[in-house]
Amino acid sequence: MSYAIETHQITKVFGDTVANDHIDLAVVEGHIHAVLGENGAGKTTLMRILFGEEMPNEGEIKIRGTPVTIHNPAEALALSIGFIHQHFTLVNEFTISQNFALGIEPRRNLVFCDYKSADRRSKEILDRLDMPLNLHVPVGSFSVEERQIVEIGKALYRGAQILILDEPTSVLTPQKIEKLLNILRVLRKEGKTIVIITHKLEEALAIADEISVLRKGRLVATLPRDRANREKVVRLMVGEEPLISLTKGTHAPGDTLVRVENLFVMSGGRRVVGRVSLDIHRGEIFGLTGVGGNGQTELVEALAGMRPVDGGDIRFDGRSVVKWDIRRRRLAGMAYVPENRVARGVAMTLPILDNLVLGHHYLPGFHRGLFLRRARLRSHANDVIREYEVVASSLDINAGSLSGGNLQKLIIGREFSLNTPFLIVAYPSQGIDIRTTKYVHSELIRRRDAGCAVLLVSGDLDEIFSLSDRIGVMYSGEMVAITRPEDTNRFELGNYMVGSRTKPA
Amino acid sequence: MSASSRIRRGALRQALSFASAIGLALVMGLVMLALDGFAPGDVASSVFSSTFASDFRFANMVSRLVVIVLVALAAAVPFKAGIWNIGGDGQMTVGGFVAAVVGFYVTGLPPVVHIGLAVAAGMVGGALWASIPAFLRLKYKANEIVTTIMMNYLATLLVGYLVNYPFRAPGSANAETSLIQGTAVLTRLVTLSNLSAGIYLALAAFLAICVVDWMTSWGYEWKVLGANDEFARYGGVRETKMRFLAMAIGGGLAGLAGSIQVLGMYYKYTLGMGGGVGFTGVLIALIASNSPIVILIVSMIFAFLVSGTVGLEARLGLATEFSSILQSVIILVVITRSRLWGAISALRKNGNRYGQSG
Amino acid sequence: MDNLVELLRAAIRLTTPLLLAALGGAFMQVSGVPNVGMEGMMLIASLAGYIASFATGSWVAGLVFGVLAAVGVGLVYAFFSLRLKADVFAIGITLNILMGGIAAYVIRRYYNQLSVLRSPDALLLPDLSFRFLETNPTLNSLLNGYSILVPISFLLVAVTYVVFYKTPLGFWLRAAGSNPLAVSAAGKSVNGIRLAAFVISAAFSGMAGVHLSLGYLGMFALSLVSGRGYVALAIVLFGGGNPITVLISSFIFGVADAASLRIPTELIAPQFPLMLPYIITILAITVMSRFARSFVSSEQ
Repeated sequence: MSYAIETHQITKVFGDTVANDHIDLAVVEGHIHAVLGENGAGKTTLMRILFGEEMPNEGEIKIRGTPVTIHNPAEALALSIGFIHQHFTLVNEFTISQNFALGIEPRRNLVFCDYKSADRRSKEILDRLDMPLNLHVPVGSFSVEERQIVEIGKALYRGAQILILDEPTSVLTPQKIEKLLNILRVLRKEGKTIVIITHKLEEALAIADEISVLRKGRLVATLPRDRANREKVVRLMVGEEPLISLTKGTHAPGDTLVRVENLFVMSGGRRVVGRVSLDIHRGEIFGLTGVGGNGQTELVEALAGMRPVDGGDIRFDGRSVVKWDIRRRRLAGMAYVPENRVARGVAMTLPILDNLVLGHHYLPGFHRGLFLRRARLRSHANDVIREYEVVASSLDINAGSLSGGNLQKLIIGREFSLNTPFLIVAYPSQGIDIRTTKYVHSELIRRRDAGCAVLLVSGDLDEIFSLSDRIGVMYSGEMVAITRPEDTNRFELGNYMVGSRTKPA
Repeated sequence: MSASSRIRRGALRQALSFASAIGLALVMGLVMLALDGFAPGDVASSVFSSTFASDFRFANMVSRLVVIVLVALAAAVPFKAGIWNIGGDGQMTVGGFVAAVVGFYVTGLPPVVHIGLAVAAGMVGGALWASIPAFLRLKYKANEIVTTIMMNYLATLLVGYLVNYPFRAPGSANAETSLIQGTAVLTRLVTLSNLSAGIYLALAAFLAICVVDWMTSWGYEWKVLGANDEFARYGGVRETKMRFLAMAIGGGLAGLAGSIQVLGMYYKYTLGMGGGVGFTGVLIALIASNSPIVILIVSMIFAFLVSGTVGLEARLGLATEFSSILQSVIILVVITRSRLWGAISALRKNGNRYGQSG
Repeated sequence: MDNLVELLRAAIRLTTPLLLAALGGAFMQVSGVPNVGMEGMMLIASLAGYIASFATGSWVAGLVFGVLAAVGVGLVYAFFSLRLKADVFAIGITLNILMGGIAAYVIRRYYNQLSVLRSPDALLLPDLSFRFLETNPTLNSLLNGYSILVPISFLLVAVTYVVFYKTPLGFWLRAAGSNPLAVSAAGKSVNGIRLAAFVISAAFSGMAGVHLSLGYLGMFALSLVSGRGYVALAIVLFGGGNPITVLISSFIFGVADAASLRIPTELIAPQFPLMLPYIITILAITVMSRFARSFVSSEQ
């Protein structure tokens, strides 16, 4: 058995996070190898290393038995490795051939391009893939699945023998997924080696010869298809039943504070939130989960006022807030801990004080007309730092100098200290150390017990189970399940998350 | 080491880095001049004598400072909030012209009221002139660098027309308005110099901006908008309103600068009064817009440079435009310094490259 | 009829500097970096070219040195923008101011002139006449006898078009502007491509500058460029770098320019027609920004 790719102890560290932890991957030549894992498991990082877009801190790579060092994509291409990115690297204004041949344009003479030969080759490739696409229009006019085929064709055009696909089915509708899988089968018959990164279990089971599972940066197991079944793989992906980390206790929820009715959100021509309805009660933590990219982010942004809504309603305490701007929603009693801390939750170049003041500075009591009550704000900021245990030597150092965990505590401190009845908390534990996570969890429970309606969004099932009073799962923009933690288990949730079931429990 | 002293250390380090960048640029300037045949000793003595040697010269330098600070603030206030204002020249022109008109045509008012009215009118003129590009940018996304620069040329032409025809001083051969009324005059502070009571107005405006910057929600929201506008929006800052406000205020400050020149120095509006100082203001804003104090300091340095080179022209025949060369070089050196810093610390943060493990 | 021909001739002449600068700007624009420094490049090129011409008595030297001066500025600009990753707008504006200062300094220091430099020894760029056109009187008056950069500028529209859409360099430039990730995934260097764009753009601006001083005027003045570099920026911003759009926009400006100079002063004060190019620029950039797909914001 010869291996197309072998990695030995590949390790990649970003700051505090270990994205890849001594991974030994072996991909058999001519097979389709699925790399499964949740968000943050390290799949994409590993593949980027193989394509030369990242360099590992430790470890070796062998391609077809030969040890290599891949410094950049040009070297990867020279090794016949092709990478089909999740976000397409196509030039939308160019035609298929122009995209295929980018960088290696065929020339008629020294100066001019001549795509006749390229067109011929492109047509050949498209025919092999059974996708007759128009060679003379810009690829921007194609549908998403068509553009994906162009991405694949691009790798083939460059002579790739090893194809790596990053979450290829995340942009496809169920019908088109089968088409893609057939194409992959055709390529396998041609002798190509295919690595497919995915979180979608069904597809992996449908097509892969081997399945590797990554969890939290480690390669947990590699199973040949005949030894893999749904139950085993899901267990590997999400881990065993959690140790009880926190007694969240029970709290009788109050009336409905936030109601989402048939919400639709469009983005880039796609429906990213489709007909979602849910209620969040006072004194309850609603845990929204699902694999990243299935609409949770857009739903949260629509609630927070950062994204326009294309249909449906959002009601806060009975009033429709769908047309309200962010300040109004905040004044009405909403706080939001965003997923993207650095881009949205703080201003890295500003001092901690300034980062803590935002959202408070227009509240009554903190200003006198136009004038800020700076002493009051500063003292409040000091209170927040103390209460939320932010490790910072002073309020006047820049937020950028804080560690990830501290930054998160700062954001949570700022938002929670607004004492709002409605809290949106998105992915609070991502990239955070255990101690801080525990702290954040206890804070969330505190808020719930004080009567807040909390919308918690997380991909970490441990977290979801230990905190939620009710759980919702999103898949492909829809709410596919709403249930209680006592009525379900990780395995069932895992199934919903990977699209195995669509009926709500 | 305690936190506050560490911060002071950090601020000091920054100030030193800034100062060294400026110092480096000045040294480069001296070298350039030396290569061009001007002995550094001559240059230095000439510069000092034309700036500090007499009350008259010092007053002229201060008068320049007044204008420079105002146009620097005019560019810096919007810039801090994330929107460009290159239109200081045009806003100054419009403001000065309006002040001249109000200064001449309105009669029978006591001086304080008359001055107040003329200055206010000048500021409104400048603010309006800035509002047009602001509106186009905020509503239609029209690039404000281009539009504010276009407005500069339009201001020169429009006011040029007004001063040549309808508002021309009767019997005058030059393109200028009639002399303003005595009641609109800002008294001269130092005989024969350019320095007038306008300095008090400028001081008031500067203090007002300091107050707004440090103590009001406007200053805070502008700061956040400029640092990370997504964060600002997320926190409930009303982006459009605040940016428009910043631009209008910037225009008003430039209008004030023009009004002071008219009411305190020329007593009428003549074409070409501004002399391109708006761009000096933009350069200062590029490196100093974070703090009015830094703006003041850099403006003092620039005022010193400009006055110094005027003297150089008189004594050594050196062109005064050398100061704009020096100013641009200073900006480039400061930017290089901060960029190199940024690149080095980014490299450190991003972790090791493969070469490490060998 | 004669008046119309006259007007068209003037329009064509006045189009050239804008057209050249904007075409160059298009190279940078399509690669994803706006050229904010055209104003300064044109100014320094017109001065350098003029001085070279009367110093050597050769218009070729004038053209060459003018272009070289602009390219020098372009390299500095590229260094700050690509290497140091400084803000493209800030550096561009600073360089424009710097060039203004240098130009003024040079003519004052070395030639003792206040704002205008004039020398009888300066050799202008030659005119271009085709014999075969002389047979037809209308064609002759419309197309013959222009300073050499005028027909070249129009020719360069075709050249630019061909380069953009039919040569590898054009594909790389456009790809770098449309999706730099596609370029790096294809194994090419985005910065290398953009550097080429800087150099080409500067060369075009250089030609534009040389035309201003050596094309017809035969002198250099500090007010020679007068914002045209920013008008060219506007043309490129709202045209998205398409050479045909650039041609049409530049020509509209050329016509407006020519017309404004011809409006008799009895009808309306001379300042108003002169306002036309600037007003048109503002209107155009406002209207086009509403629909612009590849919007270049001044935020980076």
